[in-house]
Amino acid sequence: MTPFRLLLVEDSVNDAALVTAELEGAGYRPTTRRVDTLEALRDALGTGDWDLVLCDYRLPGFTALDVLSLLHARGRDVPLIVLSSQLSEEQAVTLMKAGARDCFSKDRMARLGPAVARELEETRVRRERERAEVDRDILARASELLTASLEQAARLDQLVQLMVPRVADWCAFFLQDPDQGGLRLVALAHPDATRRAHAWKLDQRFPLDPQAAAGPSHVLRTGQPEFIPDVRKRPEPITKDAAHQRAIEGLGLRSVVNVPLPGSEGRLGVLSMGTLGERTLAPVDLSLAQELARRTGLVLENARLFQEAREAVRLRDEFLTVAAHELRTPLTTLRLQLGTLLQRTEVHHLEPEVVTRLERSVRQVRRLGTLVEGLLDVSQLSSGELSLMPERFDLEELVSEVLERYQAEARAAGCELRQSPRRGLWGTWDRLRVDQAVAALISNALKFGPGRPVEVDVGREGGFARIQVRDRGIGVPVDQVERIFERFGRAVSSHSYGGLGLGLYLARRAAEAHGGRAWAEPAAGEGARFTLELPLEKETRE
Amino acid sequence: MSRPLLVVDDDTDLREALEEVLRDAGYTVLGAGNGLQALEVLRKESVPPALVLLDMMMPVMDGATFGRQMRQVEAWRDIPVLVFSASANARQVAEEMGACSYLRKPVDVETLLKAVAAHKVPEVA
Repeated sequence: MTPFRLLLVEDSVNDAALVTAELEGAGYRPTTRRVDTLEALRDALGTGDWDLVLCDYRLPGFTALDVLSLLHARGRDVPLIVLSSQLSEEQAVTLMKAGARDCFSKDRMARLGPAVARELEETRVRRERERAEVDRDILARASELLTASLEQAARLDQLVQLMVPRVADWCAFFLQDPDQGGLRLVALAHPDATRRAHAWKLDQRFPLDPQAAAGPSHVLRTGQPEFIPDVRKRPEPITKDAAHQRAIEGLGLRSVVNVPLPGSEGRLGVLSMGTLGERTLAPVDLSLAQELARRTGLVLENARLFQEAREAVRLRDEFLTVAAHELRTPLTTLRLQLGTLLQRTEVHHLEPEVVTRLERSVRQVRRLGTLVEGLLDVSQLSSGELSLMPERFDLEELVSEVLERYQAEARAAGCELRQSPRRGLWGTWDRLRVDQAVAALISNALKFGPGRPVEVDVGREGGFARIQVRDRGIGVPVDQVERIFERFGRAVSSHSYGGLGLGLYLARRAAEAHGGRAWAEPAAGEGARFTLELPLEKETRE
Repeated sequence: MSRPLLVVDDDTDLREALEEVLRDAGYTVLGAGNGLQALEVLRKESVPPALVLLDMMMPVMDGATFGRQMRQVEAWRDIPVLVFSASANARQVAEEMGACSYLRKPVDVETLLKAVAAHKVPEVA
């Protein structure tokens, strides 16, 4: 016996009994409501879902045509078959044009069984197709929302709206409260403002019991989806608290679906939806809820990870700021103290040995400063670009300042520092970064070419200013010329040459941040040539 | 008597080192350990300082707050400020508070004296 919901529009009780008997004979046991007035028909269409309408042609005060137009006006996808004692061919054509699925005479009742079978099957297929279309549409819109740049609350709000009223009468997200644990209502779609307010109040007054034997908390705990086709038929109450139970009943729930939002480290929350009144949910709705929950879980998870990563970067930056302050302050004191001592020894003509040692200390403190700056720069660079603070200055003057600073170190290394004749080369660059880059090249040349002269040439090449540093040291093998610009990269063993291997890396990053380049090549004869290229402004280009 | 320089830094060793370098170069120098102390020094002195060397990160009252409060007093409004900070964005900070110039820690004696002299502070004869 196949059950279905039949709306029988028939004023004759006898004819109604005849129809029922015929259907039973054909293997159907419909849940039937018989109506014989337009008012009763309107009521039936308003409160119930029907699988089939069987309709007499002529009733007191109306005809099957009125029933068809009422169905049409209500937007109901229910097949209608007209059964009549006498029906002219013309009337039949009119009825079929108005949307009747079939018409036949009551004395050919044997046609009823096959006609019902055909209509129910066609309706099932059509409804399934329409439902698949709805699912596809909802998931497509959900994907759009999930990838749009929205605040999380707004995103969840719009997601629950997608389900109402097409799939369910209400839809909600519960998320784990990060502070207190347990689930809190975070988004709710419900057509009735009073009921909506009631639900939010309920969440405040009766936070979901984490140990509940049913409902969202249970789903969160077990990870198993929950499908209650009819809450009213549930034997045991949802909660032991009578006031809470009354409050839940006040929501007027009928069908309920609760599915977990999956996350990589446990469940993040629960998607909950349901119906009110006569409408019920089916397993197909559970599948849709699960798919929506799966996609939402993924996005929430990513948002959480992103948030954590951002927090880690913020902490790192904060640490760097503090570290920079803490390291630079004592370095300043040391430098100033040594500088003062050095000046005084010169004034008071103290023994040269003291001067030499002070000079050595000054060099070491300066080196310490460079190392600290390098480390801080590298940590900052690992997560982003160098930020530049451009100003206009003469590059040749800057280079000669750097050379001046390295005179003592050059003397110690036994190198003569030579600079090409100065003509003035103005441009707009970040003074500090260019200073660091030039210093890295000089320091590198002194380290790897001790005892030999180092030549520094500043000039123009096309739209670029070019600084070339040529040493006569151990040189760079061709297969290593790129490696030495990598972070912590070096062409020689760290046992024979010190340093962190950061100077050239930072020099290249600084050049690139300006839109320039830095590279090395073996020099003709012996040693290596390092080039730093920085773009000139348009007006200073030749 | 020329107008003094005011050095504001919470690190005592550093402040004293700065004062020493500047005195060696012939300047009269006042010191303060934070912004609040610096305001007190300004109130006590009959002659406003020729230049304020100002650290940024300090307890009690930081450099930016001091700078804002100093600018609100007519007599102190035009005192030039040299921001002297360990922060990587010292220049940006200096620009934001309308300071004349900035120095990023660490510096050596020559750079410091050059920056101070650039403000044409009259030296003691």
